[in-house]
Amino acid sequence: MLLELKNIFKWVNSGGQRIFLLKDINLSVEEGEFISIMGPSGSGKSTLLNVIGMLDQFNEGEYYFFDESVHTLKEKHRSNLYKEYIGFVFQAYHLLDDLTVYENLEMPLLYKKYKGSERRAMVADMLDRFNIVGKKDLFPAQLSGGQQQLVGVARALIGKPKLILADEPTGNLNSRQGEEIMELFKQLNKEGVTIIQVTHSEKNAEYGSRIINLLDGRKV
Amino acid sequence: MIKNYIRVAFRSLLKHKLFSAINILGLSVSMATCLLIILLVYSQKQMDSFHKKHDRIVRIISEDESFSYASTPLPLGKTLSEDYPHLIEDAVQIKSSFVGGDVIYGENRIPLAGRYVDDSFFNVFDFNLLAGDAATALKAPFSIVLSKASAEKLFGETNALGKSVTLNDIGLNTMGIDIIPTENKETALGDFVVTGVTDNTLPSHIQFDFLVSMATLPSLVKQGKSDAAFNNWENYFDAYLYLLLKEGVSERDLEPILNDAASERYTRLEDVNITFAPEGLSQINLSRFHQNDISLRMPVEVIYVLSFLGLVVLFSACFNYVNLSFARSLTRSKEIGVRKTMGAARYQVFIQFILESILVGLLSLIIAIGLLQVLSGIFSGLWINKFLLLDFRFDIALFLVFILFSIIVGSMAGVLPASFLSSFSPIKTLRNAKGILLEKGKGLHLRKGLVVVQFCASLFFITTTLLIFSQLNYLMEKEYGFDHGNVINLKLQGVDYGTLASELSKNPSIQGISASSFVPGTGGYSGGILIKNRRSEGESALSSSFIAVDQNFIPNLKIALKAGTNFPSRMPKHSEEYVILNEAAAKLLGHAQPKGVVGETILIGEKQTPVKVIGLTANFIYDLLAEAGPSDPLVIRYLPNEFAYLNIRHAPTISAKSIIWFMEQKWKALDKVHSLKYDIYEEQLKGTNAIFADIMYILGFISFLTITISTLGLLGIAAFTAESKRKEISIRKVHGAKTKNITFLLSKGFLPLFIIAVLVTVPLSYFVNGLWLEEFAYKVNLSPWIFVLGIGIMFTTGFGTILFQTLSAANDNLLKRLKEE
Repeated sequence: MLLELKNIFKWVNSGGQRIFLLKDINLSVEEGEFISIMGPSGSGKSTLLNVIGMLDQFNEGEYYFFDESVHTLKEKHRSNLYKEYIGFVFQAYHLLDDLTVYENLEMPLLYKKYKGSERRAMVADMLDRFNIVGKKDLFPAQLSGGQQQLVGVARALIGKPKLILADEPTGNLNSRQGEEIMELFKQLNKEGVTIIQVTHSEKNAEYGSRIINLLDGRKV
Repeated sequence: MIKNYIRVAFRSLLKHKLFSAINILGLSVSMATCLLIILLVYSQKQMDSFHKKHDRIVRIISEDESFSYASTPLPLGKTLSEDYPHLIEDAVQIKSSFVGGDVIYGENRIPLAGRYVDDSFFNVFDFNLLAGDAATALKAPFSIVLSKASAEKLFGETNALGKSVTLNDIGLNTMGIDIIPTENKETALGDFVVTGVTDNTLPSHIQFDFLVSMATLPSLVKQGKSDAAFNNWENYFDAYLYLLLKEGVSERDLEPILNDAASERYTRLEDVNITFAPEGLSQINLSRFHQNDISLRMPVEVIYVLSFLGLVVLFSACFNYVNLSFARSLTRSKEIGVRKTMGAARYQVFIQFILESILVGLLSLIIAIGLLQVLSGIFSGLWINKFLLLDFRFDIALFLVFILFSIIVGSMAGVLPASFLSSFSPIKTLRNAKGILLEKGKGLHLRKGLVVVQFCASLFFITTTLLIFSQLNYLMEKEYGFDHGNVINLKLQGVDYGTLASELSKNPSIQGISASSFVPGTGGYSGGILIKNRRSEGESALSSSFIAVDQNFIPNLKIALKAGTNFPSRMPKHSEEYVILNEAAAKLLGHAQPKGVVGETILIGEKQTPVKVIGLTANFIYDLLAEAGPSDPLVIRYLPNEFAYLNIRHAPTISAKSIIWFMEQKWKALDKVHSLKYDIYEEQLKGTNAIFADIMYILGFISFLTITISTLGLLGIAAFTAESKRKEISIRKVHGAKTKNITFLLSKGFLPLFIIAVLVTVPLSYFVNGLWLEEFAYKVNLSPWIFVLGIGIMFTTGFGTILFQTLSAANDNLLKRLKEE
């Protein structure tokens, strides 16, 4: 088992009332799965993804990742955990505007104690695999949205994560570009990467092996 | 990794040009000021470091309850080195009185200044002896060691060693100051044999044109040409004592023996109570002010004041950096979020931002070093520095200090923003694609606080500068109480004043000639004198300054005679019978109506000589302006022996130049040796007040920098405020807000900060400026208008800047903005 959520609750207090963002979520994910989380706006999809990605805290419940109990871990260990095993893909790509494609890909490696030569090899490998060698010296603003997201996915993959978390990865793309990205995910999943994506689109959800529907923070 | 950080930092600096320009500009000018101070301290520290044994050489100073003196009694050196040979390897004493005047070799007659020194001089100090034997050069009486420059002046290319020169002493000083009076009469000290030539061009606090062996003094005493006493423990003005300590002996080891030496001599004495203290050679040029110092130097107090000013400017620039970085965190938050999501730990983000600010510091350093070249030139050009030993040399060590300094400044400026920025949580920064909003929280409070501090510093400097300007202006416009126009002061240099005066009076353009012992208002001084009358009988004697003048002095300088008469034209030659007092002296003697003093007989001097007061003058300023006060008493005496200057009044229609030319002719006929020394009174007074101009320059410069830097800071803050409220502005404009509404909306946030700054600074400035203003007897009022004007200047520059920014934001194309959102 890759990860397991048990009775996860998350809430905020607003005007004396407790508003639940996540309500009693139970979820277990095996290695090699491709899960799509669906639901209307405000149903807690992104919150759930952030909790899984350990970027966000929850108020109650248990979370095991590779048998580590995340809910008892200190901040530092938690970040070590996601640093090592999880890659993120965002709807707005979140590439660093001041860095070239090459440098954007290299950036996560800087925080992982790789030697310079190793980094060069890994980045070259990734550029090759995604067919973007020719674009390595361009800045994000010089790329189309699809190309930017391609770099975003490549950046998420470069640290060889076990799990990719994608928050509406095709939300800012046209349908053709979106299809390409989804095909890429499918391919990656075949190669053994576990993927959890948040999506609005039924069509994109179909790429996954399992669909989780959320409504008002609750699994339906 | 670091390479990557630096690359990103460079790109980010290039991308945000306004931000970078404001920071680098502000930091570089303020750093240049600090570099100048570092350079100053460093050059003072480097002075005398060329002596091989410099770390073992200490100078002994004397201290009483209120002052410290660089000099010691003459017998101290011998006593210490004889009694404590296990601590002291060698000792050298330099007589504090100057020996100097014309040194004559054949046709060459060069005025040179030097010192009497012990024969161990070249053993302790490593002035490079070009010719002669270090061990014996200063042993024999009537030995003289010339500096290389003096030897060249006297002998040209020929070898000086073994030649005989004649020395006529008038007490010429080595400091190059005219104010310290030389004696009127030359003393022919006799013939001296040149026993050495030394190169003393390396920076040292010991300055000389020549050195004469101390052994000469006993012979001079015998001939009645010197009153030096080698066993007078009560005169601690006599000699500068330098000890060469044995290896391993520290200054602290000296303290007990110095205490013993002092208590042994002074516990029994009532009127002399001094102690001795050691001072390392490297400390001499950076220590506090001492009385009777061997050379003029910048006391460490001045360096403290300059450092304080420099730091204020530097902090102001750092505040800008902090402020702007916080304001800009908006645009950086996404980057931080992404980096953290990709695995960056907080410390890694922190390092990235610190490196960025260090890079800004280093870039500023490059500009600052350029500015330093200009600044140090201007600083060396200040009037006061003509008299100080400044020697600016650049070397590797200094550059390392500079680099270290800029790194420290960079980290100092960067530490707050870096820790703030690195604390962002990724989820918050990424959830909002536009970055997190900084409308509340400690960041905002800090920013506001810093803006207030900057406002305060600017306002304080503006008001202080305005006040200093008006005070100095007041002093410079102050009426001296005598007419200094069309007067040339001529230095007598031993020439008989009667003869010269009668020669000069042959020129019909010369309307008046008088003589005086010093020139009023130029810092000259004849000394103090005790005065007493019947009213003050029984009380201890009162003391007054005095000036010696002839009968023509009062009418010639048009000093107002309030009562009585001037000195009669025929004065008794040998005994002093009449004096004239100023009103302050009359009041001092107890006359509420000063006129009542005329006709009274008062007792003056230690000997209580009875003299009759025949006249009363108004209070005219005879001291330096900054020192003078309306209640300074003055006794005007007729003492022909004291006359040192002629005051020559010429017709206003005749140019000073032609009078000087005429004076040259007459002078040459009377004195073939010395050249004519004269000053045009107007210019002389201006020169004397040049120190005020120096202060104005320095303060004006500093306040200009502070104001500029804080204005730049405001510019940046206003720009970013406008930037972060773009959406709000657009929405408001869509709903009909006018430019002026928007401008008001954006500017009003600064108003409370400004008011807080005014409330804090005005009382502070009033208090602090009141403190120094109290030191002046003649002073301007601490008028509220100064503060009103200061606030006005602040308000105009500050809000002008803000207005400029907000106006451009308010006029922005609104549709474009809304589309982007």
